[in-house]
Amino acid sequence: MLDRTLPGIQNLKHVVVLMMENRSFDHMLGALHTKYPQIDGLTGHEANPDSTGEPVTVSPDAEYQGQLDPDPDHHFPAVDLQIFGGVTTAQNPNRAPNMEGFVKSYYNQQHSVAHSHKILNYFTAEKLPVLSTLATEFAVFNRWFSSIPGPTLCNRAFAHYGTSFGQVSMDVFYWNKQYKSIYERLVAAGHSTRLYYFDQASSSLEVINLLQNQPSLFGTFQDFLDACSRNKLPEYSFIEPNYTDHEDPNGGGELIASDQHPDHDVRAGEQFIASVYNAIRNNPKLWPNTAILIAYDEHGGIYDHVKPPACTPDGFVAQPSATGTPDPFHFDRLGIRVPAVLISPWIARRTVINETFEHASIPATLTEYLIGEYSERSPREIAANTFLGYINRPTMRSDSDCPAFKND
Amino acid sequence: MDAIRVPAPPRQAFNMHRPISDLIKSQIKHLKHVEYRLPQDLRDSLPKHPLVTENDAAIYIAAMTGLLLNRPAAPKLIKMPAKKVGTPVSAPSTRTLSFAASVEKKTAAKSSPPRKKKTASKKLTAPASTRRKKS
Repeated sequence: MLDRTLPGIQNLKHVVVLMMENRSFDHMLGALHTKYPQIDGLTGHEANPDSTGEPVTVSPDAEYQGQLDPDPDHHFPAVDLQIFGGVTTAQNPNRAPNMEGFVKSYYNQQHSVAHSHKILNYFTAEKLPVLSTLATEFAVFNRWFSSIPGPTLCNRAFAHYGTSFGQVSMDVFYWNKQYKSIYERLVAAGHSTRLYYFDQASSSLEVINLLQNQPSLFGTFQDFLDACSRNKLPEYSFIEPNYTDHEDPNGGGELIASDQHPDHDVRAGEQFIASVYNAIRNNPKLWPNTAILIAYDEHGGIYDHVKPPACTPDGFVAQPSATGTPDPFHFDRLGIRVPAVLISPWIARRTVINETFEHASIPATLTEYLIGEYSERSPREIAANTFLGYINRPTMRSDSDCPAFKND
Repeated sequence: MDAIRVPAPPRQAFNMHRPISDLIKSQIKHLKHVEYRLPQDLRDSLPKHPLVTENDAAIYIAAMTGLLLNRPAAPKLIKMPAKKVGTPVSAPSTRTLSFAASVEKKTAAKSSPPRKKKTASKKLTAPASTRRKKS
């Protein structure tokens, strides 16, 4: 239950969620463990066997671009291999996650032993000044997992609906009207909300339901920036990055993808995160009363050492024909861990959150905060932890105590 | 606390001729799913080029998004020449048409009653921080 007597909650008026693409926690933030041991990152000794059986250790050699081509497989069967190391339920009905199949999985795509090792590379903190700074200056989640051990669209569905309606793939063509999106709920309850895609040429990944049927919910990233500068930010904003390198349709030049999906340049995503943060941070009428959550939709096939935990079953079953494995999936365990950072001047520096979260926590949090009692939600969303309670400092941090970024 | 510098990607990081990822293929697949249920005249207004590169995809996605928002797509979109590598999402059409011309003509010719005002963006400009100068 959210403690509404907290000063940060009493001041809160806006929640902004930015969902990036396809990077694991250890890949982006694992290096922070050396300096901040309370962050559950990498010791440098974690290893996976490669296709020859030789152990390969993690390496701080991640590059911004060019290293993860081809795009590492992150569909359900590949993630099953990554988590369970290739042990099937036929071999061991009681198999447990060992996180030892990442190199084998990447090898399957190109059959290059040397290239397969790159899936264990991670960034040093210095190479990611924005994400690393935000993670250590505000709150970082040690256990925020993707909702499904699978690809983007079914995971993003959890952020919008608290469920993927039984889907474990990219084919989320139909939805069960039993559960409304968080945006539909908020509008019905008289609250303001928008999904901001980057531009019309990048558009939204939420095509089938919302963009098709409720286009008035959408705006561009420029609209988000304008809303910030005019103090017209909705109560809840969900931001999507630019998913492609393309020409600005208005002739304004090249627009580089900012989603950090391999093999897009990670620096463009860093600048995009900074631009979202700056739009709030540099507006004294927004900064005291806005919470920003930055989360990644799934791990993109890249190594993480934390074993995904069991979770409340979602009430759906994906059959083997859908999972691409010999087994059905009961939505009773989470996907691989992803980076997630919560930002507000009411959060203490170096807060580390150890409770378990997943993307259903997003609609769960917004529903708890803005609507209250609401029963027509998936079992996963009802069981999900909510995160606004971490905005819990008794006083607001001063401007000079909070980081600022300047994009080159 | 001094502002922390955030380095920009180098020029060569931008590659609009990059073959589209599974993610963009899926986004297109979803848009095609919607497109096939549109009236034929609206479908005729959409670009028909093979969707191989990221810029190919962006042109189609912009048109479909504009259509879904019931507003004209970008007036200056031009089909960019692209290196044809990778697998198109849909079967290549034999038609090569000017996207800008086709969309403008069709949308201008529409006589359907205006729908209620959309709150989505009125312009396609991107923030300066994410825009790169044309060389």
